[in-house]
Amino acid sequence: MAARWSTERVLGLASDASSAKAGRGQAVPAKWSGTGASARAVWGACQGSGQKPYQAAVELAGPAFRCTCPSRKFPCKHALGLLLLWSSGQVPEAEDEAGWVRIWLEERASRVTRAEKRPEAPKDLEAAAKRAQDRMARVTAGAAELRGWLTDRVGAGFAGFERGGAGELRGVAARMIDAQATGLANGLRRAAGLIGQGRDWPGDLLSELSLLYVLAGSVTRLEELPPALAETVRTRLGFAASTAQVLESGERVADQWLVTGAVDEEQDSLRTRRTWLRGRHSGRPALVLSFAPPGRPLDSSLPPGHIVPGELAFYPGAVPLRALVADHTEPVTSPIPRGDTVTEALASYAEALAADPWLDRWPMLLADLTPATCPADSPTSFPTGASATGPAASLTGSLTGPPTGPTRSPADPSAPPTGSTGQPTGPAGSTASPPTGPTGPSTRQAGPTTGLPRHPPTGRTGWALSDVDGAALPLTPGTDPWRLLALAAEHPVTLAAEWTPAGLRPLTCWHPDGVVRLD
Amino acid sequence: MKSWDDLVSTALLGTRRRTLDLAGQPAAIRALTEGSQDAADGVLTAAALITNYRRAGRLPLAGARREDPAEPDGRPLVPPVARERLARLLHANRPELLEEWLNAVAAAGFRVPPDQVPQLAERARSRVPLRGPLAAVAGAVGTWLGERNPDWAFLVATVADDNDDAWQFGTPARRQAWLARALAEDPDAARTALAATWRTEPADQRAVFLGLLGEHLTDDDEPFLDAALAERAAGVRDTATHLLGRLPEADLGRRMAARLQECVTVRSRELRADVLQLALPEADDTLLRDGVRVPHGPDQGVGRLRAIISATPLGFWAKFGTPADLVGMLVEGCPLPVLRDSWATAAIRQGDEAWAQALVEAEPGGRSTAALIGVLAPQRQAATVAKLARGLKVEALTRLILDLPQPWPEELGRVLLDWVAAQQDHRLVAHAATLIAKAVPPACLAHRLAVIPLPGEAAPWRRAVAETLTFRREMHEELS
Repeated sequence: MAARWSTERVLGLASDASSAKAGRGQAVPAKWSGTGASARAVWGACQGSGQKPYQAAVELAGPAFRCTCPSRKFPCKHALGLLLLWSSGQVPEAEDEAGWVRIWLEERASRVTRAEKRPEAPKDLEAAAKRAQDRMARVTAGAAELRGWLTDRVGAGFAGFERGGAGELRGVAARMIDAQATGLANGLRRAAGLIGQGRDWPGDLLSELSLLYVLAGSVTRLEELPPALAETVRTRLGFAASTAQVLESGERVADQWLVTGAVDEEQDSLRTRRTWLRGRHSGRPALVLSFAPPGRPLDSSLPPGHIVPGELAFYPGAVPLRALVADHTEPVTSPIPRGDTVTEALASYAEALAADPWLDRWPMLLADLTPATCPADSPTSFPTGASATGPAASLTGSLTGPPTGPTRSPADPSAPPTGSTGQPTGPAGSTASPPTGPTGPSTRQAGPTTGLPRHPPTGRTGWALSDVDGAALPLTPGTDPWRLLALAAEHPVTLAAEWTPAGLRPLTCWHPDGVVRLD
Repeated sequence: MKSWDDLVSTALLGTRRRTLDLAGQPAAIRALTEGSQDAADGVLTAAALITNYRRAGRLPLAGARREDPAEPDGRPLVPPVARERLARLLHANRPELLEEWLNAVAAAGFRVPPDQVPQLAERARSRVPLRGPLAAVAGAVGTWLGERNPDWAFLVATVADDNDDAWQFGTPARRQAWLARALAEDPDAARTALAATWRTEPADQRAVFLGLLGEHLTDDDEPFLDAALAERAAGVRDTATHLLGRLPEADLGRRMAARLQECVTVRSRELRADVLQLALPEADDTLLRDGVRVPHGPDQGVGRLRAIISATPLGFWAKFGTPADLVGMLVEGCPLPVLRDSWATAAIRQGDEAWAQALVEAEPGGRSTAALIGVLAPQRQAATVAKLARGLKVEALTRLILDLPQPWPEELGRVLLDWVAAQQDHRLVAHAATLIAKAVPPACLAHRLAVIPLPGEAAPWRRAVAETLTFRREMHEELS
């Protein structure tokens, strides 16, 4: 018999929240008859509103779904309900599948073998090389256009962006799509979303656009860059290595991979699932992407909170993060993992950023966090005197030889001179001190709004999480903090999160009674 | 971060209007941007570098304040199956079942997983009946959240306040919780505290506090309630009148009976029904003192009579006949519905079974029938409803079922489920059946309606009833 899946894993198959909800509604034994579960499949008949019951079956390897209902969702609510029943132990085990299920399984198997037998078309290497060259030429032209547009806009000033700037940026993004520079287009769309958001939007916008400017400028200099960094630039521009290439020649790392968290996002009728992994022995972070059109299930073979023993193949790059699962065995539940301190996590981010200046998301696994409130201003610092010889420098300046990493990791605790109060000292030697007293009305949300994160009472502006040393990181403003706070209110928790320039985005939380997905 | 701010303001204004002061930039940046031909290129290049330095150099927050942890909560979490059930309840949007589940969890001595408390608290914001049971099962984590999120202040009410600070300085919810607890644990102290602040309480609070006092009523509360009859706020007066009506020996009842004595006579007639002759009472100032305020108008006298009969102990009527005799008499001097209403009010307040039974039998489709049935002992409730189900039209019965005071006794639940099982398919039956399935007490949930498999062609409502009963049965089983 196949090992039963957890409820979370079943719900992870749902193509959207409403499907999951409908699936729960079908997980009622009274609605089902003739159910069974074998090593290969789960099946049953569900009494719907019509006379004739719907026949639903799920092939567990894959998984693949079949149902006689007219729904166009995949999997439909009946298949989900059936799996939920099975996961709660309410489907009897059977040695052999029912006749109609066996026929379906055999049909599927024969289709798969037919597909495998189909001879591959001989690859026309010359034509492929020509296509790659053409695309590169288009991207180069697009990047030059973007740089011209950016210097022009900085010449004229961003101030006018508040009216119609977002539309203008999206227009340029569309031109980058025409030039097949998807990476540049995505960056412009992100930048368009920043305009007018929050007090610091001009600074956030400048950060985003200046990094794009450098990325666009790197297109013509790919040959001069160190190979790993050149790969990173290619990836950021949108030239991803093919799956076959990665499986064939990517770096292989076998480990017990802990699935620390997953985020689903939908944009332009494409659903993306980012799944973060961390090797238990190697300590390496990894990112597995899965894509699906709306209404189709995303890959659910990496359930957060579980350990998947197996081998990953990493995409090339200066900070190899994205990977493919080359082969893996069944997920097993994980005990509470060992997390890092805030200082350790920030240091690893700084090190990664030194190698890949466009890295805007970094996985953190933090130990023993308790709720904290942050003061009105979170000072950032950068060390004085660190010589700018990181890749960012080598990408912008004239290259004077192979870049070495920063002489001192900027987040090295010894690097920023701190006063006796532990506050960072800015480059001008002034002590950055957070303003005290109640914050102005501009940063406070007015009125209770259901479901939106609310600021803590007056005089405090946001929630943060602090480790045992008292080092705290803020949550992103877009996060509803309350579930996480409720978990961390009793005991310190271990948290997997994405670290972004805006703060922590919590994904998974381990507490003494178990593990909870937060996103 | 002057160098960064300089860059941002230059980019905002535009390099054609403002030249970036490179002297303000760190040496490393200067070295890289000095060769730049174009001012905008210099700004963008420097901004990319500083952005990276700022991101890489992020330090933990300075001056973050760690919050105190929540008090330990020794109760076990609900079992995993019940946790899954809660997820289904939250998705299914069936608030009445959620309320039942929360109460069952509280009764079984479990608590809910902390990460579910925020979602439940959001539900309880808009559905007040969920608040009490939620506060109980959320425990110390609920308190912690309620102290930090003003929208969920009602979660704080469960803290066992050891001192009187909660009473002196707490939020209304917290003061109510304190008083409720004190009335149970230290009744004398509670009454003293209430009397001390009574004058300064807002009217709506007074009504609530009186209601709480009503749950622990003794004969000694009479003077306090008597004083409350003179309140300006109608809500407070009504509550006080209502509570005094539950004290059989109260002076108010005696005063009302004396007034009524003037208004009631019975004329016996040969071979025909007796006549109950009522005279409308005159206005007098003592009525005001006893909480009777009737708006000016043509029916003032009837209004006064209604208030007096409602507040008179029903024992007053014994000298004129049994309840069954009296409700069968012809009435003169007062509209019959007014008299029956007033009797019903008195019967409900005083919990008088004989009167309730007589009034239901006299007018089964009456406005107060459901509340009167609630006064009866469980067996008689069941028998009465069974009888009504045979006689009343489905519409009237459905309305009655809607209004029957809950919780229902087990016998009543069984009678209603038997009734559902015996009915043909009908839109109104389906509606009533849905209500019944939600409201029968846990002891009835294994009724044959839920157990006997339905044929494929059965009406959807029958399937829904079976599902609700089964769902509730499993819900209680996995918490026991």
